[in-house]
Amino acid sequence: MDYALHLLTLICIFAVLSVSLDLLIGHTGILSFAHAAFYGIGAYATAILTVTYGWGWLPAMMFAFVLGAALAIAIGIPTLRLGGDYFILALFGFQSIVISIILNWESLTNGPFGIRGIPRPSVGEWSVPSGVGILAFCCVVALLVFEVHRRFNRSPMRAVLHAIRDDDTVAQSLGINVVRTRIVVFAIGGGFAAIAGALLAFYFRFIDPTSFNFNTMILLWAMVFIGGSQRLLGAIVGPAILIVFPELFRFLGVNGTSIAYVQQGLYGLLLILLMMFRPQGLIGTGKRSAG
Amino acid sequence: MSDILSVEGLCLSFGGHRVVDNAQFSVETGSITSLIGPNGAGKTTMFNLITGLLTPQAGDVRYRGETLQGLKPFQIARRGIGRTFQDPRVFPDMSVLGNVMVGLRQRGEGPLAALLQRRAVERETQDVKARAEEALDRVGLLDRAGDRAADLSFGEQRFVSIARTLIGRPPLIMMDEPTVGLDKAGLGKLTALLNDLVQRSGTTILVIEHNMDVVMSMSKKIVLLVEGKVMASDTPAEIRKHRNMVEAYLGRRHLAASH
Amino acid sequence: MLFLQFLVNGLTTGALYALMAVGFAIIYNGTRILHLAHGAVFTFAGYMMYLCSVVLGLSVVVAFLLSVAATAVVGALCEILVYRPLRRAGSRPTADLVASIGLLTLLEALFALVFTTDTKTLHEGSLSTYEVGDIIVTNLHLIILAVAAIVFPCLQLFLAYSKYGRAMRALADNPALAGVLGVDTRKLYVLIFLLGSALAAVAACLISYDVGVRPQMGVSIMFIALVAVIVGGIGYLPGAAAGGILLGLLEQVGLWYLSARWEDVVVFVVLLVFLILRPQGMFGGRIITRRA
Repeated sequence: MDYALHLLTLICIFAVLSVSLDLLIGHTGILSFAHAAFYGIGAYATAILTVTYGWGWLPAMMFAFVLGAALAIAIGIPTLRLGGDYFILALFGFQSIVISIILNWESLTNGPFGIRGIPRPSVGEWSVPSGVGILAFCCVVALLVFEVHRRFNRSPMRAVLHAIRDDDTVAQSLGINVVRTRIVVFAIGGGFAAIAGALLAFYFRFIDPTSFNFNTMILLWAMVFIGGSQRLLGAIVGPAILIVFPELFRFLGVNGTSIAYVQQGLYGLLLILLMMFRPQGLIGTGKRSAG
Repeated sequence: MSDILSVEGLCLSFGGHRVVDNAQFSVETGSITSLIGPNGAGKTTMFNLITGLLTPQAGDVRYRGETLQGLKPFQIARRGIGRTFQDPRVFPDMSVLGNVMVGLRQRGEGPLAALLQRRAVERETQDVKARAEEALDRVGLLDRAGDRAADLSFGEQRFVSIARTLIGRPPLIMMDEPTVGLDKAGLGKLTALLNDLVQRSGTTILVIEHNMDVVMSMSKKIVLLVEGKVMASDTPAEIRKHRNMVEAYLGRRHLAASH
Repeated sequence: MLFLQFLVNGLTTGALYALMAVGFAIIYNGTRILHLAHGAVFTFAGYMMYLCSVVLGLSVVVAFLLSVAATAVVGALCEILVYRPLRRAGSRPTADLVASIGLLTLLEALFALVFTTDTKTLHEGSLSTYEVGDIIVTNLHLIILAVAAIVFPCLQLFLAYSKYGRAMRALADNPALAGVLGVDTRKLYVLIFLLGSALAAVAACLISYDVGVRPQMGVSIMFIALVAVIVGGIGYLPGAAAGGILLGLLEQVGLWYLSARWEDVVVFVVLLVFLILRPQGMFGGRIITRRA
């Protein structure tokens, strides 16, 4: 039972990541290689503010969102203006330097050892208990994020984003401020990824740099591409499959140290095969998914 | 009549090669002007310079007397210059109606409006939808409004792209080879639409066109562009008088077709 | 002379980055594929070198030649097995990028599974050194500089005078030309991948001989190579080489002031500075976007 709750909580957290990455990749065509970095930024901001500086959970989480969004804007302004491959390369670099900074700025982040003792969200004397309690907390936050996504999808914003994704030259000729819209969406995506990071910090009460590395980035991409984009259902199915599926290895008795690499290799293979045979995602219906 | 657009001494070089060379011409308000010239003469480049996709190295473009220099493409579009491209470039997965609706900027398309002002946005969207239907009706595609854009024929997609520009009611519309890929019926529909736009809506049209029949019959003015230079800028009658020159540049068959 | 020592160290590191950067740029310019798996191809060469020279005990020169050949083939297989089918299916321009990142991940995982994540060293003891005046050079320094002095002029000759080399340069100027160059495009693409991967392999063998091989080494070096390409200006091969050398020199200066672990951060700052101030690169090439 505890095990099922654990998986559900993880699915909840990854659904927030997947929905926000889908907003970037699937809807707007922003191919962000740094989503795991923003996830890490949110987790570390929350952990440092609550543990080191004694902030409350809500201000810490809000700060994480603002920081994720602000960094996205800072990195987006010089790169999204140039578009295309420059942005991809820059984000690829951003992902690796964020991890590098987390590892090396030891006085702030405690380096490879991570940060312990992150408090659970609380109201007065009462704090959210483990198990169902923290799952419910994560669900509420996830539902808020889903609702934002749903409202975007039902407004004319959706068509504007798709226009930018499909043909940004035409979009400009129709009077759409392509660069600003991309930066705004990128900021929202970065902020949501940071929120997911805060959830992770509250759930495990311990974070270290390995949760936010290159492999996590690949995992997130695989989730988005499995789900096939643009529908909320897809954004939940992707995480659900990829969170539950590695657990099967435990039952198959694959050696513990190699399990991570078997997983990583399979995610890589999955991305290649999806591109070749089902670019619309496993459950997607549209003809296309990636930007 | 005044000029809505004037191109003044425009220059652009790519890697030492002059693509547009001190080009000078103007577009008279409420008329059709055709930009003609052989392949590679710099016609589309000229369009890209006017709409801000390219930045000239010298010269100026003035729209209603004001310079467009330093403006981004989307700002130029918002000033009232609509444009279509050589290919229809519709958004393939959107519906036909959706494609046309994207052509009109709404206040409610920002994220904050989507989150907080849903009622107002919905009302606005109804208005936009009505205007999109009006634009589709004008190009004769209202019955296809619900279809996926990618499922339409090339010619129909062309008209969708025109409707997408029309919905914004731009005073100046620039079209890059709108007749390519149209059958005879489509061609007739297009020329009727262009004439109607000028006469009924007072729209000004600048068109890149190879079909000399169309050019000669509907243009008030023809601009001949060769190797980035404006070789002639005159009425069809005067251009006809320079037959030799035009033939030399465009080849005999173009003018022959117009008699 | 401290300055001269910096110069020698920087030039040798820079020459390696330049090899990697030019290899990447040949592929990018010719095919417009952002071949991120190039990093894994690089690592493959390191492991080939390890297999041939340490496990099989072949001589270093034979191991080097075998690794370069095998790596070129692996690079070409990326094109034949992944990119070509995607191109033929008419997939979106981003599908190759996603497949490429998948390929990179897959290969890295395979390296870790086969060779473990421990660093494999290729030689025992330290390198022999020579003192020239006040500066110290290792035999590897000399080999790297000699290899670079052979490879780059040969490459230049190939690009300038052979039919396929000229086709590659024409493609770099205008990718739309692919169909009208009078050469078989399929063959040309394979050749581009063979050549680009061979260059990565040359760099990889030399670097692994110095510092050993581990599964993730390719990614960080590839990132430096990518920045070198941007610094030198996309579409201009000598620019990529110059960018590599510049980053090599900069790294030496950086090491003087900062610890080696901030290297990624320094490279990233260089990238940002260029993207903000001079996205067209040092020599003023074009700004290339994926969709024109």
